[in-house]
Amino acid sequence: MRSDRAMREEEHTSSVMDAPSRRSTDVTSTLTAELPTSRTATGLDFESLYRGARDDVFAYVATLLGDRSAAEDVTASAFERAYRRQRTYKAARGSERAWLFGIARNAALDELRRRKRTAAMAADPADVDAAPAEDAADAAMRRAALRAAVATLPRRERELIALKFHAGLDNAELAAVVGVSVSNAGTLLHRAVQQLRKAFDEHA
Amino acid sequence: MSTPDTLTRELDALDDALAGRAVDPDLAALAELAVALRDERPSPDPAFTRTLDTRVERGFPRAATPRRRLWGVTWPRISGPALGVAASLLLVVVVGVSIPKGGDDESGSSGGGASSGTAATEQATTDSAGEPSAAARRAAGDESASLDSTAPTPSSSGSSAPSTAIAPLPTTPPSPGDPRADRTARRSVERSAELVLATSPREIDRAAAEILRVTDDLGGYVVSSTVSSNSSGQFELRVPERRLQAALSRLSRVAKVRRRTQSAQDITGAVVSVRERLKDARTERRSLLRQLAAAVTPNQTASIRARLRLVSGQIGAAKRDLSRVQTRATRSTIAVTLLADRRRAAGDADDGASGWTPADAFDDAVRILEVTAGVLLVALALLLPLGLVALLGWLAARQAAQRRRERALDAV
Repeated sequence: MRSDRAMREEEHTSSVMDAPSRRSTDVTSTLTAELPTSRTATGLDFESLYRGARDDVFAYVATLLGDRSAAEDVTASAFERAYRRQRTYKAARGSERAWLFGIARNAALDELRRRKRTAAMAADPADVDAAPAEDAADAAMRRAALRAAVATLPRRERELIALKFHAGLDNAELAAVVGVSVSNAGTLLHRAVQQLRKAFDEHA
Repeated sequence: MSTPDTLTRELDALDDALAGRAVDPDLAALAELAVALRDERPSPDPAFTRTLDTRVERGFPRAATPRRRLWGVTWPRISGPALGVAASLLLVVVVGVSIPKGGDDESGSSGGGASSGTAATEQATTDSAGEPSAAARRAAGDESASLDSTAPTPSSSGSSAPSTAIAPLPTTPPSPGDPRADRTARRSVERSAELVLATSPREIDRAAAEILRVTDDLGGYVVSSTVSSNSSGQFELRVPERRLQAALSRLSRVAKVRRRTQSAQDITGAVVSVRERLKDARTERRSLLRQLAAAVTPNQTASIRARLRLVSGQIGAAKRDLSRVQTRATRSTIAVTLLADRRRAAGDADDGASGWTPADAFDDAVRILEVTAGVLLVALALLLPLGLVALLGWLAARQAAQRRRERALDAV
């Protein structure tokens, strides 16, 4: 049975992403114990933020890095940084999710700089949960083509796709994370989708 | 190239598709792509999520790192900012200590340095005639200083400071070899000081005697003195300019200093003016003497002799003026006022002449507060620019780091 806070978190996530709250439900179900609430003086409820954004952060980082193992390290590192810096959060500067994804982005970029090698989605092992055996062959092919298309995108465009479709950020949050205006974020996102469609058509 | 309408329409279609709403048939493929992308997002491994959940529950405990041991000592962990603050404070202390102190220092003050530059002038005027009163001398100085409008007059007279504060002197002596040295050495500066001392009424006579003894020891003399037993005393002293700081230092020990003021006035213009007047008069006398030798008639001789008497009078007056104005530069005037302090008298009655009274404690407390405020002010003056530089450096480093991060996205 979910708590009222978890329900409110679901509602918040829905309004932000304008999408079904599948991720929030999954996150809540994986928690083995209710985390204590520790809202700081800045108004940040870290545990709620963690519950609502854990899988989103992982999805974004994994897509950007193309390496699940590294994505786990970076995700953990990002949440630890956020936990230690939660007093620095200023609500006036943007939403909690935008703040968190900014930290995760910096951690991911640090990892990219450290590794000095190209992340390749093609090297990413298949997601067991997301690839049930009963998928039809053509659907599996389409999914493979889609993954390949995402992997061929330049990192900047791939990051936008990951923030929008994998992390579920709306355009305002996406703009805050990337550091551009909302209208510019829409233009960049549209361009990335166009590139993805083109790459997908080539791979399909 | 998409038009703005198309762009907006397609972006709305993406949001609608992600929200599960219907989209226009011509954008169905785009909506399908959006949903497929969302469904393709990587999911974390359950084992990883459990581990991360546990860490969050525990508040990301830090791994215990062993403290550094050096020379058998366990050193505390010092953060970068703490190290920076400590370094800044150390800098403040070093700068504060290295600032030279004025006042009682007999050898290192600017006044002492300037006096050496006028020593030659002092020797040249040892045959000076009578001394004018202080008021008359000041009046003459102002008048003569105004004769040469181009001469700088960096006067700092009249500035008073509480307790032992000393007004800054207007000139600093140049180092040997400095091109300004010759020019400054020829300058004449009149220095004066005023001391207000306080002691118990019964100590007035002893303090007066001590003031006279100090003046005598330093080769000075008393221009005027008025002492009322057990009440007050007024002294006008004149000491060699190069011993002014020593005199002030010793006089300050005679009794408690209530006020100490120093002033300096550049009288180079007055000296130059009088010298020029003397030179002109001598030149005229030589000319008259030549004319006298060439005179043939008794009338001519009488007329020239009359003019010679007049010029001789002018030469004498100019000599006296020159002597007077040079004495002002070589002898410093110290005005000492001796006051009877009733509170100190009460303290004397209790525990002797050198007792430490609550009034003294109050004075000391005020003094400590003044010094503390001064130290804080100096620290602030140093730390503010340092902090500003550190802030700018931090902002620049942060921007540079972000730019380096962004470049990672451009790498193929």
